[in-house]
Amino acid sequence: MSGKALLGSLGRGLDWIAAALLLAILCITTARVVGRYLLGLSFPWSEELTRLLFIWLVLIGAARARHMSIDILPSAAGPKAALALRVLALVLGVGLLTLMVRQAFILIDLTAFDRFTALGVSVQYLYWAMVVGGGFWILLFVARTLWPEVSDKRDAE
Amino acid sequence: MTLLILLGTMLVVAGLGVPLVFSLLSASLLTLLVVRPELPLVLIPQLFVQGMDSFALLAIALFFLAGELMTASGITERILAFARSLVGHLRGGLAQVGIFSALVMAGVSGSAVADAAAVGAVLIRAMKKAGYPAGFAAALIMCASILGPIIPPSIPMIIYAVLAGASVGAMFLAGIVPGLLIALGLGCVAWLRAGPLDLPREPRASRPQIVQATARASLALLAPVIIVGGIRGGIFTATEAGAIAVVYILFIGSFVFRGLSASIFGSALVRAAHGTASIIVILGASSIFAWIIADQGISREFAAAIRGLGAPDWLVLLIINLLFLAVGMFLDPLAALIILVPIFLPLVQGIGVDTVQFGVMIVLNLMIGLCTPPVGYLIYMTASMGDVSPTQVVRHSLPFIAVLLGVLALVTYVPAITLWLPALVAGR
Repeated sequence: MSGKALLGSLGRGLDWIAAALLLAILCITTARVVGRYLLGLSFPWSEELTRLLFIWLVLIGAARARHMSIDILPSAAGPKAALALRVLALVLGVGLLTLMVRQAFILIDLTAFDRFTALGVSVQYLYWAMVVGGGFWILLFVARTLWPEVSDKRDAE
Repeated sequence: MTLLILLGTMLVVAGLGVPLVFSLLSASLLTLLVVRPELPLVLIPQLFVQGMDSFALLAIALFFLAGELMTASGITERILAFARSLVGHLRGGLAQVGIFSALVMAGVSGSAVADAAAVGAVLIRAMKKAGYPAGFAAALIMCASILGPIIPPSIPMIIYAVLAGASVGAMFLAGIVPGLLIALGLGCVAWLRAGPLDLPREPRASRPQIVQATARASLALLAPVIIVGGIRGGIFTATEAGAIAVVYILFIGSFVFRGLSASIFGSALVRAAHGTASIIVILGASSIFAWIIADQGISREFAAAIRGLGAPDWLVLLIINLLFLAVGMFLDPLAALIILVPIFLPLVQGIGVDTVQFGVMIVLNLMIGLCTPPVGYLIYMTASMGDVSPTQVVRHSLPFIAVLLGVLALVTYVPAITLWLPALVAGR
């Protein structure tokens, strides 16, 4: 399997995970309403769980999402200048993401013993999303800049 | 000075085409390193994640999904038939159908792009076939789809509510009257333009036809009632309403209208996840931005400086509106909303403008940017649907844009338009 094919499957895998996370949020939120009115049950942990899943959804989704930018200058620039702008965006983006991922490891240590009140699990799982999602984001950002066709495939699906 | 570093870096980096999320982060990082070098950098991922961690924000993902499903579910077609039977015989018949359908669809979807895609896909072609100028058809659908985020549910209103600490329910209710005014105003323009453009009418539907179209659309028409009624009546939160909307559309779309399948649902989930992610990371990045603004007292100083000029309140509001219109011409409305609200909120609260009224004003204002050159997304989207040049769309859109600006002026200067309905409901 070539590197590009591997990246393509990785991207699709991440899409599946993001879709599954959204589906889980949908089911749990619906269950809150159904439980409250039809079954007389409340799930006190459900709000915290869906918030945690949402952070994972956003950061896993961010690795693959098309990010908003003002593209007036890049689309007006010649090929060389456009390439320079793409490299600038890549260097800045990867630098910032690397900083955030590294600092998130510190947060994971700091919050290891803080727990969600109702859910009972450690708050550090919020910051694990930054590490995992940020890691994939860096990887795919580099790949998309090197091989734009990998990202084009995503749009055709 | 701090504001200069913050905004200056942001504008320069974003202007170079760097994604907004990284433009915001680099401006925040640079500002922190200059004005608060003693702070640990762990603050950055912490504020980033905390800025995204809110139960109300989940509603954005769910309403995104509802909008994606709506387009594919076969609901649109029934709403169009319903609109056609009711308003098709008026002057500029199909244009009136477009406005009316956009209004009804807005009750299910929370975004202008979803509205334009759903209504435009069918109606722009139908209008062209009936002899409407393609530019007119595209311009009409473009401006009518602004109703999507004004009539509840609304993705930008949720974002504003989270940023400003307002109630999502109150924001939703506040959008209803302005939305109806926009629909009415656009309808009048279409009526007036029908003569000069020689637009045909549709044959008047018979009573049994109207009854049949209404019955066929009734399940779809119920969706906005469930969403708004449920939130208003305190039956569920806005986030839960999003989930109920998705389940309802899934149910009628797959079992009654039979337009949905598992693969459509799967790709709608992925698109909703990507759309949500691209907005929410900007929100996360901007929470660092907003933290610096609060930490340095920037918005307070900014408010004091503006009020120190001694300009009357109406002039301040006018200038804010002009500034937002200018920003909206270049920046995505959601991104602009996220960046501008923390800076301007203390100022408008200082001159006695209600948080909810300001929210509707800024959302409507920034949405107009979707219909104005050079980067109005809806212009290009509807132009390609109508197979017509964007210039033609812009030319035909001018009277419709005038309606949007007129309603914006009313929202800005007549508080009752936004505040009457939430107050009425709260008072019961």
